[in-house]
Amino acid sequence: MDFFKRKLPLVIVFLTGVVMMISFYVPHTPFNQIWDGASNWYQIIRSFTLVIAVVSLIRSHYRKIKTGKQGWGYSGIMFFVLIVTAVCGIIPDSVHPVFGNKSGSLYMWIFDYVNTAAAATVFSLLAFYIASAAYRAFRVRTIDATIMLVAALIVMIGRVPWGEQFSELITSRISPHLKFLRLDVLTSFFLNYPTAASKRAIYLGIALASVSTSLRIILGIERTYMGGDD
Amino acid sequence: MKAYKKTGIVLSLSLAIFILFCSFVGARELAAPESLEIRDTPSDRGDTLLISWHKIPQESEELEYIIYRSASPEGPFEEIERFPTNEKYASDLPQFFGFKKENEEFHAFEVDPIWETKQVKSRTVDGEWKTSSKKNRALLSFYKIGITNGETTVQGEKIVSGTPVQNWFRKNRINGLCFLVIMFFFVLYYISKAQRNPNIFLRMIPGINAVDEAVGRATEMGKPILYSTGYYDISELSTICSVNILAHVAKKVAQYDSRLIVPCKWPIAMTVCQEVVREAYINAGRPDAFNIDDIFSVAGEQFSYTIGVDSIMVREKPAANFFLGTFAAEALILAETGATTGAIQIAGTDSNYQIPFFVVACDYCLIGEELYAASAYLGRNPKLVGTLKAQDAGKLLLFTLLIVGTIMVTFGAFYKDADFLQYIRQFFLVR
Repeated sequence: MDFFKRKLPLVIVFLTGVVMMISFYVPHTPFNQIWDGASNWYQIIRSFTLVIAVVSLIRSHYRKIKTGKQGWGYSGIMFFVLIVTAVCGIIPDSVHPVFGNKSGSLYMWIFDYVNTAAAATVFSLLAFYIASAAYRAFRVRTIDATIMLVAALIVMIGRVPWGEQFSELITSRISPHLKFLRLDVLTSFFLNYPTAASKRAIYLGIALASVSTSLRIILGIERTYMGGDD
Repeated sequence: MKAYKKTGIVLSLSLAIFILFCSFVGARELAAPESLEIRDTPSDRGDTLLISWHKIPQESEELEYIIYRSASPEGPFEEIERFPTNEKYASDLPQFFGFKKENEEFHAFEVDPIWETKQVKSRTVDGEWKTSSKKNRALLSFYKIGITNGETTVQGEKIVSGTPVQNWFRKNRINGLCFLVIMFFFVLYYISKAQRNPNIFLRMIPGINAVDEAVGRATEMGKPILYSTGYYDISELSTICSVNILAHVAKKVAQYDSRLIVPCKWPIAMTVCQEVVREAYINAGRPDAFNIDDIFSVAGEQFSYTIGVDSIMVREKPAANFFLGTFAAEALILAETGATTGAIQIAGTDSNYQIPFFVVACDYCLIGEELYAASAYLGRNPKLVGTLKAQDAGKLLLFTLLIVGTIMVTFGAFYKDADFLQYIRQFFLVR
C-alpha cells in the first residue's frame, strides 16, 4: 500500500520531471512529441475530471437543501439552471434547433446572455472595490503611506492629458530647465525605474523560487502535496 | 520626301534603342542580391530555415525585397514574403547570429519550408466534421530573392535549397541549463549543510507566522476558516505550493478542532486538496473530524467562482481567510469582501499585478517567492530549509551576474568588435 501511495507517485513525478526537463532542451523527436503530448494529455485528463467537479457541486448543494442552510433557495436555482443547461446542450439539434450547442440554441443563449452578462457584472464590481482599497491604502498614517499617496497622485494626474498640459504650463513659465518636474515626465520616471525595478526583483525571486521548488518536488524532497509527510 | 522618311525611320529606331537601353540600365540598377545563402535554423524542431544575403548600397523604404519559394528549381516560384530593403538584418536575430558588428551588413530571414501534409478529420463544437491538413514532413524547398521598386521587379538568378533538420540541443537555452545545474549543486550542498546544522537562520516571514494566530482566532470565535488555492489548476507551481501550505493549515485546524472550508475552482486541485486535508487530519490524530463536503467545487468560471467564494464569506462569516496561489482580477473582489466580514486575512501570490491589492486589503501578504518558501518555512525539515538557503545562494549569484552583466553589456555596446564581450553578452540573452 505504501508503494502505491508514496513510492509510485514519487517515481512518476521524478520520471515525468526529468523527461519534461530534457524535452525543454532537446527539440528532437521523440522529446518534442512528448512535450506536445503532455499538454494534450493534461487537457484530456482535465476534461474527465469535470465529472468529479459536477458530482462535488451536486453533493454540496444537495446537502444545503437537505439541511435547510441559509441561502438554500439559491442551491435550488443552481440545480434548475444546471439541469436546463445540460439538457439543452446534450440533446442534439437534429431533434429541434433550440437544442444542441450551435449559435442560436438555448444553450448558447444562456451562455451569452446569462453567464457572460453575470460575469461582466461581477467584474465591474472591481471598480468600486478599487476605490475602497485605494482609500485604505492612501490614508496618511505612516511615512510609507504618505510617500505612496504622493507617488500615486503624481502618476494618476500625470497620466491624464490635462495633468500633462497643466504641469507643462507651470514649469515652462517658471523655467525651461524644470522640464524634468513635469508630471508626465515624473510619471514615466516612476513607472520605468522604481516600479520596473521592484517588479523585476519580484520576478527574479519568483523565478529562483520556481527552480528551487521544482527541484524539491522532482527530487522528492517536498512531499507535502501528497499529504502530510513533510 | 524620301529623305524625310529615312530620317523618321532612323529617329524611330534610335528612340526604340534608347528606350531599350534605359529599361536595361533601370533593370541593372534594380539587380537582386546574388549572395544568397541558406542554412538550417539552429536549435529548433526542424520547422524553419534561415536565408541570408549581403545588403545592397541603394537600400531604402521604397525598395522592397521579395522572397520566393518553390518545390523545384525550375519553378514555379511563389512569393512568400515582402519587406522594405532597410529592414530585417542579421543583427535583429542575435539568437542566431550573435551581436557582431558585421551582422548589420547582411539581411537574414527565417523561412518556412514546403510541407508534406496529411489530411486529418476532426469534429467541431457544432458537431460537424472538418478536414484540416496537418504538417507531416518538411520537403526540399528552393528559394530565390527578388527586388522591386513598385513598378519593376527583378528576380535573382541564384537559387538556394534546403530542408530543415531537427536539432538535438537548444543551444540558445544553455544559459538556463547552466543555471539549473548550479542550482542543483547548491541544493545538494545546502541540504547536507542543513542536515549537519538544523538550526539554520531563516528570515522571519510575518504572514507565515500569523497562520497559527489566524487558526487560533477562528477556533476561539467558533467560526470556520476559508482557504482558496487560487485561480489556476494544480499544474501551476504556485497552486502546488498553496496545497503544501494547506497541509500545514489543515493539521493546525484538526488539532484545534476547528472547521476548514476549501472552495475549489478546478476538479484536479479539489481532489488533491481533499487528499491533503484528509492526510493532515489523520496525521493530527483526528480522522473522524475530516469532512469531505467542506472541500468542494464551486465553479470553473472565474467570476462564478469569485461570487461563489464571496457568498460563502458573507454567509458563513469565516474568522480567517487564506488566499494563497495565483490570482487574477478576482483577487481584490475576494479580499475586499473578506475584509468587510472582519476576518483576519492572509494572502500570498506570485501574480505581480495582484500583490498591491492583497497588500491593501489583507492583514498579511506573502510576496512572490515567500509563497514558494512558506511550506519549507512551516515544515522546518532540514532538507526543505536547505533548499531555501540554496535559493538565497542562487539569488546572490544572480545579483553578482547582474552587476557583471551590466558592465559587460555596457562595454559590449562600445566594443562591438571584441568577440569575447559579444559571446558573453550572447550567453546571457534570454530566448
